[in-house]
Amino acid sequence: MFNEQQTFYDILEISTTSSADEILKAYLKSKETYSTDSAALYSMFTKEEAYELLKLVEEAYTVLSNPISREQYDAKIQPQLKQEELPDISYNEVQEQNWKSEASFSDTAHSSKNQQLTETVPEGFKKTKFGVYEVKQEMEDEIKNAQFFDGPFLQKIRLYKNVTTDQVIKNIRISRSYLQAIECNDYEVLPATVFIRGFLVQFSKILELDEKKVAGTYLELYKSTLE
Amino acid sequence: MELRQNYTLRGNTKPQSHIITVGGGKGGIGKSFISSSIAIFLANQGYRTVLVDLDLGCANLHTYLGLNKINKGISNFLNSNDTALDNYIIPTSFPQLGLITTNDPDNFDSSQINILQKSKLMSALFKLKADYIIFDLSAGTTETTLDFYLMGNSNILVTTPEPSSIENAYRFLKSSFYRKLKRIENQMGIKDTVAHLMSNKEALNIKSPYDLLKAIYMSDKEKGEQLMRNLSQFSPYFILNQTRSPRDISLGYSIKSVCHKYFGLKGEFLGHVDHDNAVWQSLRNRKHLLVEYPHSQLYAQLMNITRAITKKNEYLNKVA
Repeated sequence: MFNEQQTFYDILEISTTSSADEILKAYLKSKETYSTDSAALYSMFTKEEAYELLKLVEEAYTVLSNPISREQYDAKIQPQLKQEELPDISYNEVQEQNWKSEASFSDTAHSSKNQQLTETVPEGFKKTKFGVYEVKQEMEDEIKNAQFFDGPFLQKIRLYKNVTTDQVIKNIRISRSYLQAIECNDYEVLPATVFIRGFLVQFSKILELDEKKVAGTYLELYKSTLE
Repeated sequence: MELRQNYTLRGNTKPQSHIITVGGGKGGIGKSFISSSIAIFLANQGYRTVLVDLDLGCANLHTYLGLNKINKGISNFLNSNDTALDNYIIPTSFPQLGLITTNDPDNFDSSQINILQKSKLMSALFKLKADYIIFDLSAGTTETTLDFYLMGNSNILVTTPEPSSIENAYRFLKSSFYRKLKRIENQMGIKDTVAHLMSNKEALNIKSPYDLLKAIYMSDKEKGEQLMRNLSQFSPYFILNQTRSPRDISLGYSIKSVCHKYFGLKGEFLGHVDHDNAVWQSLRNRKHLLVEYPHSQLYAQLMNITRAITKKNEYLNKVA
């Protein structure tokens, strides 16, 4: 009930598993409470006591707001912390993690799971960002010799390489309807040309195609229908 | 003989209903308005609710509820041989809500009730069967008021953002805290320990009740934990009334934090109620604001506060 020493979490009146967001909110509230002109202190704490409390609050926030120093601090007070509590993550953190994981997809640095996949690709198979696919010589030849890339052909390649629409949507941040429109040559639905080019370049990167050729030939077809 | 029996009984009997006490120290901060509003909401939610006006000297809850003449009340009860208050509940215009108040203030100075009368009233209140009983307390920090305040399962503390009101709220909280502490000290037999610690106040750096509790815990861990458990039943719920700006609202959280650091009590900030002329306008029309202005901001704010109380109560019942 009483710790030998008040932890920084006690000072900010938060749980040890609070998210960065909650720590900031608690800090702002505490700072307002113990600043000298606060009406809430009247007749309870003297100015000096309030100043001491405010210093503690500042110190607590300095440590807890930085993830690295917070981790070190947690390790230091470990015996006082309750381990069974599950971490609750704020919405912002989930977003952040999502972005991070997506960023690692687009980089060459994959997560360990993906690395394992690349290491153990059997013969006759090839890998994409998302998994492996069986190499079929006729498809490879068709892709190699293709003069132009239209929607249905891109879809064919995508399915051949075992890439799902969901993976594409998530990875290149394209809406489902636009992806479908690209794959169906449904030019009326498509946005402005610059956006289509961007999508096509990204899409070809995922499918490991020559992006200039794909975007160039696709947009040529698109423009020809407009005339 | 009957009185004596009740007197010994009171310490043992648990309240038959959930008691919400509304205090605040200062007068004119809206205790009666808030307690009547909470009572109306609880009654409208279908709970059998009894509102008790314990401002014995100047009862006026009946005015808030639009009632005129009161022909029976606490003064009749105290002069009678009855042990139960059931016959003294006055029906109101709200089907589930009853009112107990003081009548006949001219011939009966109820603010000066003696210890036997107080005990009789307390045990009758404990025995009263309802879902919720709400005590509207008087201003000030007299022993009688504090004792009624500490009877509550939920202790509400009303304050307004004015410094004078905050000061009185703290005064009220300090008084009730020490009264509670004294009672527990006697029950646990640690009076000497506390007296010893308090005499060495300076050396042990005891400045607030929190420091005192910590010192007790350090000297005897088992007793300290028991004391904390007993004290944790007392967790004040704060309501900030007559707020006029967003800055005022954050004051509610600040008060909660200060009390936590000062008393070691884990209180809760239930919410704020805006300052609004509609309150006195409706009172002049002798109708309750919740009836007169059901589409006002205040209605929503008071409803949220009531919901927070019932939710807490349900949660505590589940845990227990």
